[in-house]
Amino acid sequence: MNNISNLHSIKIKSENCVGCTNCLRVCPTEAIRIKNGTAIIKDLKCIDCGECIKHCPHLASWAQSDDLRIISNYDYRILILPSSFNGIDFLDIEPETIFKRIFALGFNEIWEEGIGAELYLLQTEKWLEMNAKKRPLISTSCPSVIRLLQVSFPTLIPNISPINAPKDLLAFFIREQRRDIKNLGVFYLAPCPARVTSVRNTQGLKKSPIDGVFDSKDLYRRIIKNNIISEGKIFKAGRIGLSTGTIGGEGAFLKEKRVIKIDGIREVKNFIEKLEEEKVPPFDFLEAWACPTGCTGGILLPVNNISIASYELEMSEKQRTNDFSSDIDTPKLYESLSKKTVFLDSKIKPRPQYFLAEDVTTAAKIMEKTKLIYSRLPKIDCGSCGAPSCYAFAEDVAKKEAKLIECIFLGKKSTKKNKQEKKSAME
Amino acid sequence: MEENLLLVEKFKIQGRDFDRAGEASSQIKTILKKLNIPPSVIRKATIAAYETEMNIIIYAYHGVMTLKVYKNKVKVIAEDKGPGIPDINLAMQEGYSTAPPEILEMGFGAGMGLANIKKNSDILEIKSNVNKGTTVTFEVSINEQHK
Repeated sequence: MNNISNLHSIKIKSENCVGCTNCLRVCPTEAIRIKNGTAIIKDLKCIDCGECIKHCPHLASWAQSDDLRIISNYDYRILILPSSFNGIDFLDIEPETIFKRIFALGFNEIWEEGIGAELYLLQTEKWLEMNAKKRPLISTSCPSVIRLLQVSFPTLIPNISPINAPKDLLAFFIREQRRDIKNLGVFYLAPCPARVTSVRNTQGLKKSPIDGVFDSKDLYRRIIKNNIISEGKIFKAGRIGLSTGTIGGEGAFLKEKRVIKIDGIREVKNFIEKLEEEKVPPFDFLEAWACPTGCTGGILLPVNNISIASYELEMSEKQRTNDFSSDIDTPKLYESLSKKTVFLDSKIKPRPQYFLAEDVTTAAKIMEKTKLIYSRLPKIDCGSCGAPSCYAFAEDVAKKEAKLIECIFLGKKSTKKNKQEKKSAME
Repeated sequence: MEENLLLVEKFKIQGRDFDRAGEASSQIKTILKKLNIPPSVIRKATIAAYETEMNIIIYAYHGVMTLKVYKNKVKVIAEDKGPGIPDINLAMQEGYSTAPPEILEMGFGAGMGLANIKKNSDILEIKSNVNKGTTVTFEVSINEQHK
């Protein structure tokens, strides 16, 4: 694989970045700083939520995925389509034609991720029945939420579901089904940067069952432009599988359980703060999505409006005749799956990024220093220094990662408070 | 200067200010996280601090919570001006509450506060003067096993 930092897929194009503060303000983990007029991402803090991409007016923030040409390294090629793919408006192109155009790009089979979601939900329901104690169980479906827990809320890591995310579960399942095929390549079409990263830098899995991961926008352009068609095998999900492409799909299936659903990374973070402080009523399952409306709000999905995407997805759900996949008998098969297919094979490790220093004495010193520095700052969070807030800047200075003179107000003395001070001195 | 004292932070709390309820204990959690205090200690200290904070909001006129972080423990001292507690042993009992009906309607005052503080701390000391106020002091120790 490419020789790049695999910790996150979101990158900054420095030639496009003008050093404005749009991304700075929206980053939920305060992972961005602007240094010398260009945004930089703190690798360990980034959770790939895509907020910065969404808010960048200069198209400087982008997500790195694989080049479609890598599929030529494999003899037999299978593409997994995310459930939110059905939220894309393909203008007047018939669904069957879309599949044929994808086959023409070099794929032998197409599987809908929803089949994986059906197996995932059936397994989750069974797990909740068998394990009455571990509550709430946190869904593995959104990798950005998992990263958020690793970076900011490690005490909740034990609550993460032990069941593979739908796309991984499906990829393992396909590998088992197609084990006789030599040089098999299993690929995934990602609706968001977090799913790209979850293939390249797995959490809870020693090795990803997926060989390459592509950008949905790039594939969309190829489907629209290219009218070459080819044949292949298609495996479709049922209504239940498809419904997981947007918020509420998982909860609707687990309707016997107490499910809390949240979308949008800020809301997720606020909720998890409360969960960590045990200020949340008891419940069974947390369906949390970094993107608004869930995967239909994915930043790599070629849609003009997320509400339309959810609507399109619902429309295609209605066209399915069965609750479960009619190509794969998921309710019959789910109990016979191998352990490797169903469960994560390693521990999800905490990656705490919130402390000032490893050692408490040093951390306390930095905090005292931060307080002192903060008291001198204008507290208007303008972002001109390159930090997301005056407090974050004070911390950076205390940690010697920034210099006090980078605050434009300390030099100019033009804050409201200073003006008032000057005024009262004149009187 | 107390030995091994690393940090002191004070929080003012206003009685009946339910809009800001939980703010002080949330800030205490943030501070402890930034100091890299072991998660199990943070959890206990935050829950105990929340109950302490709520007791001031529900029952007292106003108060001050002081967080003291030591190398080997986290200490919270909550001093309030309020009606005080006539019988501390009775107040410690689970389910015993003197909360008025409007507080109970809001879902608070279930009589678990002091019991929860005791459960989540290693040392608890309550001093009270009726019609003057109450001082609750608790400690959560940081042992080697936490690290």
